[in-house]
Amino acid sequence: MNEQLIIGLFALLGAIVTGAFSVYKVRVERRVSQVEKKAKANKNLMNENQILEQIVPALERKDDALDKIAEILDNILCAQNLTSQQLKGMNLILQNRCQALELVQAFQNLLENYQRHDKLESLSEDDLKDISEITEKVVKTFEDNKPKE
Amino acid sequence: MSIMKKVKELDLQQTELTKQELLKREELIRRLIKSKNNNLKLFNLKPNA
Repeated sequence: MNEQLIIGLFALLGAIVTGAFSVYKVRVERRVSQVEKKAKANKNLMNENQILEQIVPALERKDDALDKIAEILDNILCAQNLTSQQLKGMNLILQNRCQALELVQAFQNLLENYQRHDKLESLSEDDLKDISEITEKVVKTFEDNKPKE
Repeated sequence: MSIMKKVKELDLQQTELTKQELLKREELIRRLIKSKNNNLKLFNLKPNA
């Protein structure tokens, strides 16, 4: 009788220990699963941030280039000393304005050419008419590119 | 160190990493929006909110 009681107690104790360990194991597994999910999400986040870290400085460099272009364009427009061919070139380049570096190069070339060209006074009436027409086209191109509100 | 304690420590590390990466993301997005609005301003277009 006593032996059966002792065996029974040991069996009960064994079952309690097994049960407790099983509960602990489930809790640890659940927590590990959460950590794995977090680690995976972090990995994605880090990869995306790495891509952004490459894109953003490139865009900022493009901003600098565009600022430079705006400054050069301002100087050119203030001087009002453009030939119709130069304005056509500018219009074409502005249509592809995403290529900022090419724009900077083109405008720098334009400025260099500008110094070698005759002054506005030397242009004929027809040239002035051409400039006026092309300027209107440039303005219209910008207006057409405005996003709809 | 018990397994649970080690897992909790790893969890805390990952949470901290998430915070850092989210802060980094916030800063990058801020710079991205600034860049975009600068471009829009340059071309006389309406900046985004």
